[in-house]
Amino acid sequence: MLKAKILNEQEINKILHRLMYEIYENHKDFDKLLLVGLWTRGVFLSRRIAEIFLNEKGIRLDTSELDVTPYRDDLYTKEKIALKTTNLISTRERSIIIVDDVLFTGRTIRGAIEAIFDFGRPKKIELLILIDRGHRELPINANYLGRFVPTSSKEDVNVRLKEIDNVDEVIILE
Amino acid sequence: MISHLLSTKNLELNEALEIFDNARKFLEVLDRPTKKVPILKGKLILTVFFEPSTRTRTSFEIAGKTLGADVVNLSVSQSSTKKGETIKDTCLTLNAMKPDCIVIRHSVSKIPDYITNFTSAKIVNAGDGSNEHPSQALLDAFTLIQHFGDLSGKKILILGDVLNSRVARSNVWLLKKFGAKVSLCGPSTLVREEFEKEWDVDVYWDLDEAINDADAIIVLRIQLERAASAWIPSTREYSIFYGLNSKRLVNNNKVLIMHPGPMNRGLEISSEVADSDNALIRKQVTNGLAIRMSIFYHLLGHKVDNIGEHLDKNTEQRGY
Repeated sequence: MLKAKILNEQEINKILHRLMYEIYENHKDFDKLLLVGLWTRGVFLSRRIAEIFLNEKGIRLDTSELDVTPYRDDLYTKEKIALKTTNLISTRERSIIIVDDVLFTGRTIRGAIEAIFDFGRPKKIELLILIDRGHRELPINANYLGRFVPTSSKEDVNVRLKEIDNVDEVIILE
Repeated sequence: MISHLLSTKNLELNEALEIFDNARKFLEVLDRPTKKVPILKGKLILTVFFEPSTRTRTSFEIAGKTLGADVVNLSVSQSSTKKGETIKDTCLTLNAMKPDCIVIRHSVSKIPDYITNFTSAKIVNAGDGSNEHPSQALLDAFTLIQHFGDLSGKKILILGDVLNSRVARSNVWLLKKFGAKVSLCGPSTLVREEFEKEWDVDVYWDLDEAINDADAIIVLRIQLERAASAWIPSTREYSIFYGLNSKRLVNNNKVLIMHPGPMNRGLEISSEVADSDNALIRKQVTNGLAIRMSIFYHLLGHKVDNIGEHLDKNTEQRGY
């Protein structure tokens, strides 16, 4: 059941612009930067940020897609999950920014970090998140954060993006 | 959902497609600098081969190891059966080692089905007698789909010793599910007239006629240890009538060539054809790895029932 709408299309767009400028401020060597989007919505967010980068600064960033499924720690408690495309290029000596929509327990990000190391030893790894809903179970935090939304564990945060959901919004379900 | 991979006859089309979808993703893993994903970390896979095999076993072993499983190979042909142990006892012994999956090859048809009653592990049939070899058929179909996109209406010719071939049977059942027009060709001792009706396929005894409008040819190995002894007069004669060489392909030079290996060059296939651009034989091997990874993922990569539960059920039902 819908409890609240947190962000609309405009707000999401504004946040992504701000996050892009934060990345721009923190980095110098944009050739070494690699945005790694996590399936499903992280992939679309990473593409959008790369697009904003190109429009605002004329800088073309590398983006890759990563499916964390093989690295999940709960594979054996779930029904079978269909795999998605992973197309990471070498991560050796690169500055990686993992991009995902919601940060919750932090377990997905742990898997993503493990996966990235399989593609080479990166210079550093940062994390960009649209919504941080709390309830962390691992020592993981976002370097670039859209919005912190305190939630109860009964609630569910849904990020919907035009690319697959036909609408840009973030809602809380109960 | 299947809990064992025993045949392609009982495999649903959507399950085959699911295996293909994941196999496409696993191909990428094989190109990584670190060729390993921890999907099956801590799982134990036994490959138990009662018949000699190198490539199929190696393929299963690499597939399992790439997914992080522990793979242990047993050559039973050299050990217990020689000492008189029954297949049931061998299986119960292996089961006591707590494997999660057993890959088995045996010279007797249906043995993989039979041993599902004595183990809680998932069973993968890696070839049983002249019955089935489902992983080979899956990789063949996967390779064909890679090239054609869609198999409906494509004429796939299976050439050679169909009678003794488990690869042929598994391929016939599977390719038909994809809507392919399956044809068989070979001497009438090895490609029987009755196959046409029983299997609902086209049977040819004349190779040139069969090749005519074929989209792909799966060349089978003449099993020197089986067929050559009784079913054909001589390997030389076979080679003249049914050996695939470039002269045969003059009128149809687009046709794709596949072979499950190992090849007898100069017998069922000429070197020229085997090494031509249309030959997908090496690609089959790489695809075989991805398909077998996908099979393991399909059988093991999700929530599991309590170990042994189905064992009790099976034993009651079948009264073994």
